[in-house]
Amino acid sequence: MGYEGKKVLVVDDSAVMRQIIKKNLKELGFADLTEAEDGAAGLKKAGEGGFDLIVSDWNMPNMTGLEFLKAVRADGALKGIAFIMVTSEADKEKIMEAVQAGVNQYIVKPFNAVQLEEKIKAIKF
Amino acid sequence: MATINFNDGAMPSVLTDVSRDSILSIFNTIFGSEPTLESTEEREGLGDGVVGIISFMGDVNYIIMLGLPKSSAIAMASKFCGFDIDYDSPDMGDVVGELANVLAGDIVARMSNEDFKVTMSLPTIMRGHDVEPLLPRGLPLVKLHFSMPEGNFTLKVAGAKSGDLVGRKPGA
Repeated sequence: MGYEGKKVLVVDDSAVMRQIIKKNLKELGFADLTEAEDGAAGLKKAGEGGFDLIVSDWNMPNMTGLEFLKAVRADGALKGIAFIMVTSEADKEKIMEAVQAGVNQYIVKPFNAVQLEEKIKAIKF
Repeated sequence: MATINFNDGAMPSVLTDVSRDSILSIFNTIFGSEPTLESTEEREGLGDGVVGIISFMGDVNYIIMLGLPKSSAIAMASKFCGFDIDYDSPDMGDVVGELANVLAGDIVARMSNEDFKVTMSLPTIMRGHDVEPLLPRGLPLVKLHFSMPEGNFTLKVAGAKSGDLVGRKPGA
């Protein structure tokens, strides 16, 4: 599947996790990758336009992944962007909140490129 | 719903059992082999190393401290990330924080299965020689020493009062 034309925003407060997620996405063929360190910065980046997919951590300072998701879905220009939430086992009980807020998929850490691709394929964007 | 106050100064077995089980499960998932619990006895300090600290708040307030000696931190970071991380770089703190974060997420889920509702803080990282936070007296502390191919490491589980907790809460 060709992902090279898709633009992805990776949001995580951990620089290393951003690197790991970007490495996984590159393995899958994604080339146009942008990153942000929390939901507030992610919202600003998303506003620059053109994104097909957001991969965001849930557990972040300043603005959580859920707050970020809700802000994206409330913005007329951004609400159509596919959104994958990266969670820990602790967040699984809360995932219904994210589903109700409009998340497309969620993935539990730790994960690899194969598991991430399964989630991306399920979105069919 | 159950609660724990540490009034008798003892560490409830549920906290050590859940922490041990989470270590075995999460480290096996990440590194491909299950660590061995070597000892719960007192040992000499960590030496040069990195410590990831996460607080739990709710039906029970407590802290876990994941201590990785320098050599273990370097080996585990390389395997976790799929690329090498310089020990002295800020990224090393990120990796240990993320390991602690994933571990703590599993602990929260297992505590829920035991009928204890807790939330977790964001990780706090310390790096240095024999570093560890000063903990209040009179509260229980258990040290779990593990070994695995990537190296030895220690998980300390310490009871806490709400005012003693370390770390920021997620979100605003």
